[in-house]
Amino acid sequence: MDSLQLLRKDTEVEIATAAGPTAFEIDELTAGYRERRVLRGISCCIPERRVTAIMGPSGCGKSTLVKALNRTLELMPGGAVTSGHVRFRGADLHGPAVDPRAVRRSLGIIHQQPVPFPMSILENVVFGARFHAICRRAEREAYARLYLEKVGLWTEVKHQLHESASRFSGGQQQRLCLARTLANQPQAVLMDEPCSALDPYATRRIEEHIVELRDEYPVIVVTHNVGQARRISDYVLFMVDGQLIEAGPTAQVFEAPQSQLARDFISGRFG
Amino acid sequence: MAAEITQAAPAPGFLPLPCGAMRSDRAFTVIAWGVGLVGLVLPLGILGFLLIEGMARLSWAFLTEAPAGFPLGSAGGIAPAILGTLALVAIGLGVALPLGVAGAIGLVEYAPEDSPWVRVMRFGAECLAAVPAIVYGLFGYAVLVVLFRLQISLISGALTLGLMMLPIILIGAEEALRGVERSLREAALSLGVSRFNVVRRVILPKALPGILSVTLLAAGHAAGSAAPVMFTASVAFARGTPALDAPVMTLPSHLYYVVSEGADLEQAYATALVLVVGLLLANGCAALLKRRLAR
Amino acid sequence: MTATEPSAVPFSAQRVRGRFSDRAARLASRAALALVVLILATLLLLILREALPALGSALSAEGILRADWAPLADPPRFGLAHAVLSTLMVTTLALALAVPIGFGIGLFAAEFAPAWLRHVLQPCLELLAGIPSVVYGFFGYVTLVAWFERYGGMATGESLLVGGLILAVMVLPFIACTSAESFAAVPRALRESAHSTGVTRVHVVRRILVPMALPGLFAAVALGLGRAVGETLAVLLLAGNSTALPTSYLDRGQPLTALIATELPEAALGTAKYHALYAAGLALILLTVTINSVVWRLKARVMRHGG
Ligand SMILES: Nc1ncnc2c1ncn2[C@@H]1O[C@H](COP(=O)(O)OP(=O)(O)OP(=O)(O)O)[C@@H](O)[C@H]1O
Ligand SMILES: [Mg+2]
Repeated sequence: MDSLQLLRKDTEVEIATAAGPTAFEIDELTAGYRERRVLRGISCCIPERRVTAIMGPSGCGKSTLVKALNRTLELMPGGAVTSGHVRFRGADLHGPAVDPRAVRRSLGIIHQQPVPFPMSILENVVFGARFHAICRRAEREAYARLYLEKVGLWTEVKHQLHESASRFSGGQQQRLCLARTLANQPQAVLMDEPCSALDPYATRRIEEHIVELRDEYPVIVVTHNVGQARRISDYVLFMVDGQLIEAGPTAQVFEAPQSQLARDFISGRFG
Repeated sequence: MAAEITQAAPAPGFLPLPCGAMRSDRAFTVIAWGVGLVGLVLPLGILGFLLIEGMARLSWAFLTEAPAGFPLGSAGGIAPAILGTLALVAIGLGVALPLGVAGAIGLVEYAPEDSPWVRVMRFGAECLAAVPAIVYGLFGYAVLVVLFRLQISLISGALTLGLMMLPIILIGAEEALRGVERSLREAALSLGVSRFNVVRRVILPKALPGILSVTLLAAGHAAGSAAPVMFTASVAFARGTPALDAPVMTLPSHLYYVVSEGADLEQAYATALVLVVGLLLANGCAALLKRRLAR
Repeated sequence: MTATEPSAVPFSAQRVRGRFSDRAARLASRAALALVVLILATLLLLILREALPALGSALSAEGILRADWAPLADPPRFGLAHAVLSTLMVTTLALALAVPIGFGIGLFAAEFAPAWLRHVLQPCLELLAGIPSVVYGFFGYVTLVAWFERYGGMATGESLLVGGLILAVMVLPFIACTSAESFAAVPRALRESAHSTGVTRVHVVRRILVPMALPGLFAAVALGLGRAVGETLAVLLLAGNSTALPTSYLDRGQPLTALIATELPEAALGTAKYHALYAAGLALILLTVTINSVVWRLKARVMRHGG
């Protein structure tokens, strides 16, 4: 199947396609909060082992989409997927036998604000892994070290593993959250504006990690930052008002945007 | 340039305010400070009075001996009353704390956020918390003492106090749990762990200072109330360590008996001081915890 | 390094642990809530049941609303009129004193006091609120009652006046704190822009602060009222415990709470007296629930304003 393909009939947007296996298939997804419909029929495919950036003006439903992709939307008050399907590697996220918590574990998410838990750094990293019995109590430290090394935190924290994470800088906290999510051994990583609370230096570090993650996982990154999307993403989805208006390989969308909205957004004229 | 020249030059300095307004403003400020000082002087005055009068009569023996003399309480100490109060509140908390915290968890974590039930429960709990202490006494008397035949005993009084503390703890714990940031809950749940695990490992540790704070407040409130224990637990005199099925002495009711007899108030100053200092310590700890939480 | 590999099991085949504990926790917390509801219901029903026999004839000449309290008469009469009147009198006096002073303190704390003073004032008010009722009773007894006995030319110093005075001190912190909160809840920006027009403070207070804080101020009064009506020990010790109908504040009286506290230990089960006392309790419940509903409404309005 073609990896990026916009199946919308009404807007006539033609999307260039790229070869490669598909991770997520989103099919006519509508979702919202109580009466408020936020996503209005999103259809697209998101490729394996690539970074896909989701862009669009504030309030267009990017966070809602990402939350729908790992079934955390239904944790929000009134939040629900009302119709449509999301399939990850062929399995329907909303299938009858599917435990939403298994979905959440398998499709890890990083939020805008880093949220360290009120426990030691070590416990933070293995919080989910311990619950899912991925790591035994005795091997906690070795396990945590693996993931702390992966996000480049190990050398900074190896002497304070048993201290609270609340004194960390924002960038360190966000990397800790990344380690915590990766320690869950997810099959994909979703990020909702992971750098918007960080300074440029910390942003750069997270971006490096995102690019590294691409080797193992399909990665979805919501971002407001046009430059960041250009730097790290392979594909771009462009949303406006709950609808997908443009999608394609990053270079193509940035060089030759098909819609006026996307053109304005990219050139910084709105958004 | 021309426009500037034609405009009238403003008078130097600032325009004066109307004279009457200034005067009333000054008077208002003076009154506000005066009233504010009342709020300062009154508590400190009462506390100072109790401290000065009470300290003079306080001794180690007073804290460790049983009351004696005639009328009772004119000599000896208040040890059984201290023990009785502590036992009542401790057992009452043993009932109210788990129930209150479990109920609060049910309201915050296991009920749909916008459920009308949550509002109804909250309203009910607030009504219960506002019901006067003496009504709990009436209830405890009719249900525990009479209906369940528990007699006037430590257990009757402790359960009555437990009921009185329950709504306070429920409301306070609910607020403490709700005060935990959404994002924390969301981030923990997004790792796919069970809600109970999130509550136990993430939410409760965060809410703990708040829960402890309101528990201390409720305990202090219960420890200082004579009305609910007057018909359910307390007697003018009891000896030895408190037993579940026997009546006890309590600090507030002891103070009440001594004052209502009106004969010899010497010892009452010290009793009042012990009670107030104990409660202030509890309330002070509660306030400190709350302040820690606010940071 | 198998641990670094993403787990290959698709989520559709994964079983997540913790189902049982989750369900148990849900059940336990619901059970706790059900118990709270049950307690609320029995509290209401039981007191209603014990009060019911006295309510039937409440309005007759012998009933609780019109008769006097004459347990030794034949037949004995258990009217609550004197107690209702006493409660009304002490509560009115207490609020008449505590409301203006409390609002003043609230305004002072929110508008006039420098930050350090605010930080002193707050614990002081909490201190006042933390002193138990019986200690206030004792305090009033050794100060006001003694003073009135010595200088007031009264045989006994206890009176509704003394009860009302001490009650005023007791409800003061609640009124002060609640009104301070509602004054402080008026948005800063609004206050600053009002001041920046150069008007006096009185003007800002009268035209901006008071109207904006009004629901909160009402809530403060209602809260104080509820406290004053329900206070037992202080009025028991200070109001004089006389079952005669009071005619002035210098008379002795017996508010509802004091009546219950005095008479319940001597009321045999199921007697007219017993039922009359539970009717008094029911009146207290109804009053506090009504007050609480008003406060609830007002708070909702405050929050809408603030938010
Ligand atoms: N919990 C919620 N309840 C109700 N409506 C919500 C909720 N969260 C978001 N919305 C609404 O849904 C719409 C989309 O929100 P969403 O957070 O998905 O936007 P976004 O594209 O992520 O915006 P941003 O760039 O600001 O993060 C918004 O109009 C918002 O008002
Ligand atoms: Mg967003």
